[in-house]
Amino acid sequence: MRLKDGTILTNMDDKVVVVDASNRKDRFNGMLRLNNTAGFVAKQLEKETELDDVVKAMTEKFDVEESVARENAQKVIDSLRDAGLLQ
Amino acid sequence: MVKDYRIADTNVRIHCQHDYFDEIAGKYEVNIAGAPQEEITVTREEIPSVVETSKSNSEAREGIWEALAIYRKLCDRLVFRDVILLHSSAIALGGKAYLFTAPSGTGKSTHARLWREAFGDEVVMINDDKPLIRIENGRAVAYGTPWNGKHNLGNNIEAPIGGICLLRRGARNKIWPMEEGEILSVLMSQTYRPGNEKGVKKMVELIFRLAKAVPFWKMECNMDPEAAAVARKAMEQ
Repeated sequence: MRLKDGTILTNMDDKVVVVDASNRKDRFNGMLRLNNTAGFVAKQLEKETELDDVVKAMTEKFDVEESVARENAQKVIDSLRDAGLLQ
Repeated sequence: MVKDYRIADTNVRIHCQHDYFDEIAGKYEVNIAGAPQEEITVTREEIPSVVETSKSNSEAREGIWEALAIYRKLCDRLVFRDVILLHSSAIALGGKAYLFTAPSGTGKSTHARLWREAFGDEVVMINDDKPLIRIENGRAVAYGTPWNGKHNLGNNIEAPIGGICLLRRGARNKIWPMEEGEILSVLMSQTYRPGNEKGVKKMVELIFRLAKAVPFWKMECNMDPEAAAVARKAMEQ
């Protein structure tokens, strides 16, 4: 899974802002503001990846248990999917 | 034809096919010594060709579309000069600009008209439909532009923004400060979105800056003259 083409991540203040900059008719017209952890997950999805790889990257970057990382990653992925931002 | 204009403090050279744009942009024409800061071209192919009952109707419609194409291209460039387009009605009073934004049909122009009727000469129209906003050094300035909407209400003036208000219709007039989260989503939906990724990214950055630069308000309003007084009292602080 990965973010749709044209999805941009920008650092604003202390958040990661996700916006769909494409010209698609069905594009997401709002913006998501993600905190540090959620922003990290979103960044992993800039290229094709699997949940396991995202979880691995999170446990390496943050001092967090695998099960917690998995749960958090899934939440973020679900939000991105609900906003129509995943391919 | 090719002519030079000064819009949003930027020298622009515009190449176009129809006369309509020149008619609406007359007040913005300038003589530029040297190269313009931006140069915009709209070609025949870029204007949808229209077949209407009379040639003059087709001409008129194509001219209007060309003018909008010019604005889009201009805004695509101006975003990199820290300027965005906010769909709103902008008035000037006491040396400050006040902008009213809302989805189409809500009554932005009507509300601006109520201010004109209530405060007479104190109010000057900046732009009734699509003003440009420059955000620089933590401050925001609203500009008049040739594109003023259906009734051509606007002037070639600029003013620092005193406040931006989201309107919605209500039985009684009340106004209150807008929450930060909502400011960003309102701006996202009412700001012109550039046609390229880099432009959109820059637009997002400018929206964040604008959200911090001026006070934002929400107002429920009706069409009574009192609406203008209630809004002014809160916004003109």
